[in-house]
Amino acid sequence: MEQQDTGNSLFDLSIDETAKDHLRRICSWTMVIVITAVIGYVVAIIKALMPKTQVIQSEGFGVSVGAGQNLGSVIFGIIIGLLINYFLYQFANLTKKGVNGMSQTDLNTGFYNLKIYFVIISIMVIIALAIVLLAFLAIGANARVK
Amino acid sequence: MEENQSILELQVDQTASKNLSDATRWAKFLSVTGFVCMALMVIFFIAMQSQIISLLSQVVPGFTDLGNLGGVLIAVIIIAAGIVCLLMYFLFKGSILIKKGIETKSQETFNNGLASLKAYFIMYGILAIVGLISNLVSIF
Repeated sequence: MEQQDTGNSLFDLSIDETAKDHLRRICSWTMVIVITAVIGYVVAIIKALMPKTQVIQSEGFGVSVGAGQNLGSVIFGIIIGLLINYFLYQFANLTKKGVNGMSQTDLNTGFYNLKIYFVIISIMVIIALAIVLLAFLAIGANARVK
Repeated sequence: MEENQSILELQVDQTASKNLSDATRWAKFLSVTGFVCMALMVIFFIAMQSQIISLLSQVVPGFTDLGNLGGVLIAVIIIAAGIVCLLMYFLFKGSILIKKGIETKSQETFNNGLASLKAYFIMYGILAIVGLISNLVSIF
């Protein structure tokens, strides 16, 4: 057992050429995701600034459908999105730098940013699920009262 | 310079392995949550099919006249859920293999994990591009 522990030193696992290739590809696609997200935020702001409200006449009743989103909610969404994508960008940038420049520090910082990216998304998913659960409970309680 | 590079290879050192292990733990949670949410969404849509169609027919006049549109709607939702599940599968597989590779110090398992993570980010990127294009089209 001791022999196995000695054999399994901390530096057994290396970033070989295959791993480097995978990491480079991951970084490239991550950059694509970040750029796409930023363009998407610009599009969302443009859409929010030109709100359109379609009125559909249905059997004499006008049903109003809001096609444009509230500017406040759009900005809130963009701030959160930018925060998430900042860490994704940092991951891509630093990991690429680390792999190409053989810098262990940059590689480690890149992996740290990937961790933060997944942590933030997971926390937001937990919050969103909690809100959905509360909404369902509220609807259920409301239905029982009626 | 090249000699230095060959001697000082990049390693998955203690800091990197800790960061990657933490990242994979959260990625695994995210993928499992994704699977569960997609399953619940499909069940919800199948169970509430008639209510959803009646709600849509209030907003879109003549919706009920379009024949078997409920079935088409369910099919679209199942396909969308399938795409998300495939995305989550790559993330799940990547997180499991990377963690296993770090724990067992297996280079092959670690590289396979990175390959799955790569597949996840490629698919995510393609979906992001498709989403952006559809968003841009909706402006005009």
